[in-house]
Amino acid sequence: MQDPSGRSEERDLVERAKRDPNAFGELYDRHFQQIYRFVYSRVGEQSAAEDVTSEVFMKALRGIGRYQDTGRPFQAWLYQISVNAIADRYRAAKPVEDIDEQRALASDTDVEAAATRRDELRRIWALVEGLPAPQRTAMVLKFQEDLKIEDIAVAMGKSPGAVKLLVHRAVTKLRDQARRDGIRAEFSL
Amino acid sequence: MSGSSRDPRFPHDPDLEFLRDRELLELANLLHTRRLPEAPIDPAFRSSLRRDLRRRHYEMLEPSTPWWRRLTSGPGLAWSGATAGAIAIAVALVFAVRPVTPSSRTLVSSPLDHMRGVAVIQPMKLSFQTAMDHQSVESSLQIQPATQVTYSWRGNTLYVQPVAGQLAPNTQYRLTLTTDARTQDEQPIQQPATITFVTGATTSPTPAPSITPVPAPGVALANPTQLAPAGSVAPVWSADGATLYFAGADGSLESMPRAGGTPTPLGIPGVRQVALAPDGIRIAVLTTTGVYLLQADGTGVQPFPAPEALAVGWRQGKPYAALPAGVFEVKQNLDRGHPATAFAVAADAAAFAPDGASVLVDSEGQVHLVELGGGHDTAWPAGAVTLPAWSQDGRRVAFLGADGLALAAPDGSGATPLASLEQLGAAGATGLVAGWSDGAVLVAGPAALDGVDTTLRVPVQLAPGAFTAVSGSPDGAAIAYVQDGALWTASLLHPGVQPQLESQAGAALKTFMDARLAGDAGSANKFLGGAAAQKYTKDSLLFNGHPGLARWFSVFQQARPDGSVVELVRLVLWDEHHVDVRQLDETLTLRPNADGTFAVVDVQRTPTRAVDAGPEVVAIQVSSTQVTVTFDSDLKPESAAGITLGSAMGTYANRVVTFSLSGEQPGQLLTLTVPNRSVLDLSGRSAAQALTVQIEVPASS
Repeated sequence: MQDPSGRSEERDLVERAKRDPNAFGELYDRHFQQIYRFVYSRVGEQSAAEDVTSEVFMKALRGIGRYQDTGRPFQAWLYQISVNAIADRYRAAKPVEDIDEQRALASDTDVEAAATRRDELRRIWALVEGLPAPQRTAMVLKFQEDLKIEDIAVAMGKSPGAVKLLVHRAVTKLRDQARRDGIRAEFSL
Repeated sequence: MSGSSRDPRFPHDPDLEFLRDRELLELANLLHTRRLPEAPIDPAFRSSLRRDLRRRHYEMLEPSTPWWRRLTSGPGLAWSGATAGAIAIAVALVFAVRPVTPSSRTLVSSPLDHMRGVAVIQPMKLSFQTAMDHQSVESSLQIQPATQVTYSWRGNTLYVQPVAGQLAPNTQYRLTLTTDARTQDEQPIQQPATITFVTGATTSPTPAPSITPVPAPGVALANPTQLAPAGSVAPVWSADGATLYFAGADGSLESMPRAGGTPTPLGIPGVRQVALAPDGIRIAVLTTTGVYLLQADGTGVQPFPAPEALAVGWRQGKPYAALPAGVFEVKQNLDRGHPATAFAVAADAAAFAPDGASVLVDSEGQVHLVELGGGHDTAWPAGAVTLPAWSQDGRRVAFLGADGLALAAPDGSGATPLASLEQLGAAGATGLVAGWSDGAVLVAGPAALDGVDTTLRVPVQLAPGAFTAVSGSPDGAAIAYVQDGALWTASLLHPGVQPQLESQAGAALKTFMDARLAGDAGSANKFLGGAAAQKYTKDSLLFNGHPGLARWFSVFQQARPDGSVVELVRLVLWDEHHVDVRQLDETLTLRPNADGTFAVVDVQRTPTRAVDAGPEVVAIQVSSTQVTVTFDSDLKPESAAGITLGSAMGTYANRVVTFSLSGEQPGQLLTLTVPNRSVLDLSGRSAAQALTVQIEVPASS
């Protein structure tokens, strides 16, 4: 995506996709895998991931006519839709509890279980699941999806500075929790 | 963070430099190295979502009520259908069922999905993995193009049969099972599923790839009719073919209806040649004493003495005469003025091109082509025994050379033999008067009238007798000739020529189109000539990219009297998933080159339109007795009344409109009209593309 010619090619494709179903299909082919994976990592269940992914791309189709290139990759926009769709889904299903709380509760259990399996790295990721929602989303987009800070900012509807702050706080919190949970020895180098 | 502080085991991510703290960076790098397991992805979900997006996108781009929503069910019949396949590649389409459990699924498969070239005569089956509610499946199954079908079930397999008995040829079918379909235990399917396939050609023959010689006569006369006594001057037809101008028995100009009647004397004596102005109102007459101009009704006679005049003609509405010194505009003091175009050498004989732009001149046995505009003179490379005769379109000439009758371009280049002197017999031995008609050269000789079709090149004696002149009618369907001192007319037929022309043109078309299909611009360009060479761009020739050229087929083909062949070709474009999405029509004109090969000399194309946009004509077939027009959709029968051939309406049944040709004259041109607004398929959609095709009534066998 950093390749200027690649960006140019993507811009052209996105412009064509506004009026050409085949071009939109090409965008879909390019990004389906990562969006689905991201959604699945957030909702943790296949049929729910399919529902949300369908919603993401349908929303993208409805909205692509208004999409304007801001210099960031198209995928950042898809992630933004995904983040919102995930939030909407769990807001609709559980008006009080949100997904992050649910996942945090589950993660605590996972961490305890994982601790017994001595899978320290997995425990760290389990700790990620226990982070507040914005921090967790930023961490997943940064470390699982390999997005740039600027792209995460687009996806989350925040400024790059705010995303950096989220990531900084999240990593600091992970470090502190890892020390507290005795995981520090595993990753300390 | 400085580079020196980085741990070499981790990639440096400048995006994280804001963390600053070494321990945080190490943790961040560790997070980078760990990936969660890949999420389980159902390929059927992925492809199904893609199809849904594409369909939804098309609906957004072309907002209209989906055709299938207008479908209505009739008693015992359903407005939808499908086909069964012979090739056992079952592609599973998965429908999520609203859950008994979230993972419960219903599976349907069809061996036809994504198949191309599917045979049109076969039932279609859809196999379900679970028992389905028959009525809901039948009522929710939609088919494009609109097709009337019947259903039968065997267990969990649904067989769908078109009422017409077979599927339409060269057609992409799209079957959609909507979410109204339910399982036997009343569970609705959660997402619609689509099956797409493309049928092959019908039993009508594909143009033969190779040329098979046909020992056909090529030219024949029918209904010879004697009209009036006449002198030895080539008759001239009026533009509408209704009137003939000729020299009477005493050598004076006369006119009479082609259908017969009493000749009208026009009062010009000593006629040697007649030239009708393009406006059809004025006539220039070459006589033994000079040139006369007059109105076609015989009034307004103006004499221009010039006994040495060799020929008359019209150029841009003005009359001209060729004299030994050059070409002169016909006006007062014709033979004493300055020539509009001077000849380099004194002419012995001359013949104006049909458009008057040039003149062929014979000077002491050497033929020259002289352009009237600038006087450019081109001497022929080979000698002609007689002054060449112009074809009606002015593109070629026929002449008698040392080896026999031959064709050439007007400047004498590209000469090709047409018939040997031996084949011409008496006509060739004693000199000839040549005329052109309908793609044939006619040779009027003292013992016979011979004809040679310029495609088949087989000389045929049309009639015995002493012939002194011959000329073809403007529509090419008849000739007028002078035999034994009388003016005659007859119909000119081309038995065996049309199939031969169509076969040769079809073979050329196949090579041309296959080159386009293969993206071979070089090979395709070799077939282009005339206006077509200018009208094709690389994009319109090859359709590279998406959508790209997927297939083509010939909707209609017919040879024309001038030897050209008209081909109506449909080009179908597909997307990167090999689904037909767009199409357009090209009307190609193919014309034989001097060497007998065919070139595409003109093309007219429609804009591209969506596949599945409405009923389409997929075949027009012409026999000696009828014309059939085949649609891809079942039509509302009453709407087929809007389809006409000439002024006649056809009869409609099973996607086919049939017109009888009984009573029509061979050679007559009829216009087939398919309007796009009034012709409706069963779902009420109007025809995707209006169509107008000129069809020549073939000669009966």
